Amino acid sequence: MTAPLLEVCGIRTRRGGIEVLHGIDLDVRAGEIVAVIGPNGAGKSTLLGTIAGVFPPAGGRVRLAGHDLGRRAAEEIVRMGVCLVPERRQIWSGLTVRQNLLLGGYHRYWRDRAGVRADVARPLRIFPKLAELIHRAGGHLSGGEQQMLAIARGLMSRPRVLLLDEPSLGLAPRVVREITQTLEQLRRAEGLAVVLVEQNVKAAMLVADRVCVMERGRIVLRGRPAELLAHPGVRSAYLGKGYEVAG
Amino acid sequence: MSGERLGLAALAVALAAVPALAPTAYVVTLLNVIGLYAIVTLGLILLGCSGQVSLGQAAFYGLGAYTSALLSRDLGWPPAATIPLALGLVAGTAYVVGVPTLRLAEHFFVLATLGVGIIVNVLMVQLVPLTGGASGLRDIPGLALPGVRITTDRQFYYLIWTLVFVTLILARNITSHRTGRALRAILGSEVGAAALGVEVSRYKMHVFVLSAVYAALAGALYAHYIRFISPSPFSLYASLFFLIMAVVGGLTNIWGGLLGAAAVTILDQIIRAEVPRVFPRVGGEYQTAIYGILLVLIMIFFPSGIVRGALDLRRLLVRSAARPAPVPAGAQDPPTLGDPPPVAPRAKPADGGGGM
Repeated sequence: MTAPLLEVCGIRTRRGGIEVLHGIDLDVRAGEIVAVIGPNGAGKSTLLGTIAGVFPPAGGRVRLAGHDLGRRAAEEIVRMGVCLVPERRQIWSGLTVRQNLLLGGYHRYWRDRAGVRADVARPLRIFPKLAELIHRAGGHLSGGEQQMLAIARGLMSRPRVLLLDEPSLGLAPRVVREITQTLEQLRRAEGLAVVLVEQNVKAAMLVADRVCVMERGRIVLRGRPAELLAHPGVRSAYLGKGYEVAG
Repeated sequence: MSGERLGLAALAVALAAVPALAPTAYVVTLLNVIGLYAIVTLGLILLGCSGQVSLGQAAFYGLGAYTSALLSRDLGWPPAATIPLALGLVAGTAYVVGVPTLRLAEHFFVLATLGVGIIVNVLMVQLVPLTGGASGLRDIPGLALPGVRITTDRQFYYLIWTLVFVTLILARNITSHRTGRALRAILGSEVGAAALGVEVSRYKMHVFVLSAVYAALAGALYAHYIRFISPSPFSLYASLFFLIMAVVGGLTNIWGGLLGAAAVTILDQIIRAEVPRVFPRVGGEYQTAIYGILLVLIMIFFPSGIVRGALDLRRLLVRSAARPAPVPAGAQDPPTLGDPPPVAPRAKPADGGGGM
């Protein structure tokens, strides 16, 4: 088994004076998708924000390929290869699709302006629909298109680890399927590691290699999707009693 | 030449001609005041571009004025040296203020800047040996730059408006390039911007310090122009006045800084002159109330500022002019057998499925 690309050891994070994460351990290998599921307020988004450097940890350690991310600033962590696609997409509605994508390559724009501009073609190949909308304002896109743009913008930073916060929020099942298929392609073709925070447990189970269940700032259960699907607690809490495993 | 550059050039030509064409000296004085306010407002708009609002801008305006005035009056240093020193001191002060306050969420930051404004104004009143207290400082030296003494209203006019243009172009360049994109990203979502590698705290600090320097520049010019300063033009009311100018102009629109300062200052002057003439028995409080009503109306009809409002209005007029006149009922030719069947309009796709 390969060494983990991202290691989270005993992370504790405080927000507004209250400890939200109480010692989280998590590891992700290159080309692996790890889903984090759990109820609202479990601390899933805080976990992603802590890994990305948006919320400074109060204790514990985050390592990327053996390098300590410590209390580094978010921009430095992006430069090292960890990119957060935040909750509710956070598309800049007044900027065009192209400008949103250019912002994704922001951290290396000074050093490699031509490279960043040329890189815009890459996410457009992954999401061809965006190529047709390249000059349209982000605010005029549909929910699905905005989510594609958010992921495409994240890919502009050339991440090794992508942190996805609720990408399926408010989207039609067809669009969710399309996005999860793209994630599959990315991890296979480029060895991208993905930490996927999801409320849509069924979608997360279908795409993830491993799943962690978070409750009240702790990981209470972890395993392969099939193992968790067989767990009566997970089935009744997240999938409903009548849920049958497809395929 | 782009439309914006053309507009800038036309404005420069028009402003250069004003002193020669102005019917009275009052117009030049009024334009000088507008120019000084425009510099402060431009700083506030830069701050607005990063999603911040300050209610303490008059403090930096006053610090610039008092620093340059004291150094030139009491130490005899030339204003050409004291003005840059004042800007440096204000930049340092803004940095010290910014370190703890810029971490605060939006409304708490506004309250913190309000507090800074009150503290600085109280110090201006209470440090009597240094500031002259409520009586202020008199006999501030006029402005003498190397090779030229600037004493008349017209000379100040050219200096002030040259600096307005310099600060305007600097602000425009900042907001229209890479930094501008970063500021817009921060304005849209701080978390989103940080997640993409935008140095949120660094940019917020830079913009905060720059906006304070803009205010200090206007303050220092004011001190050497009027040659008398007291705490009242740097009070909380002045901070509110600057913020109103920025909001009326459009809090994220650089051109709004100029137009907001002009609109609010002229409106203020008109109300002061006309209300007592129309309503002779009405007191000064009613003037303020009328001023307030007009501002409420501007905010209702132009919530994004008068520049954006005027552009939206123009777009609306162009669109309505381009729309074809409605065909009168019965004037259309009846369909024939050779015509293609009418096509039903496509239904709007459900949320999330659009265009997929």
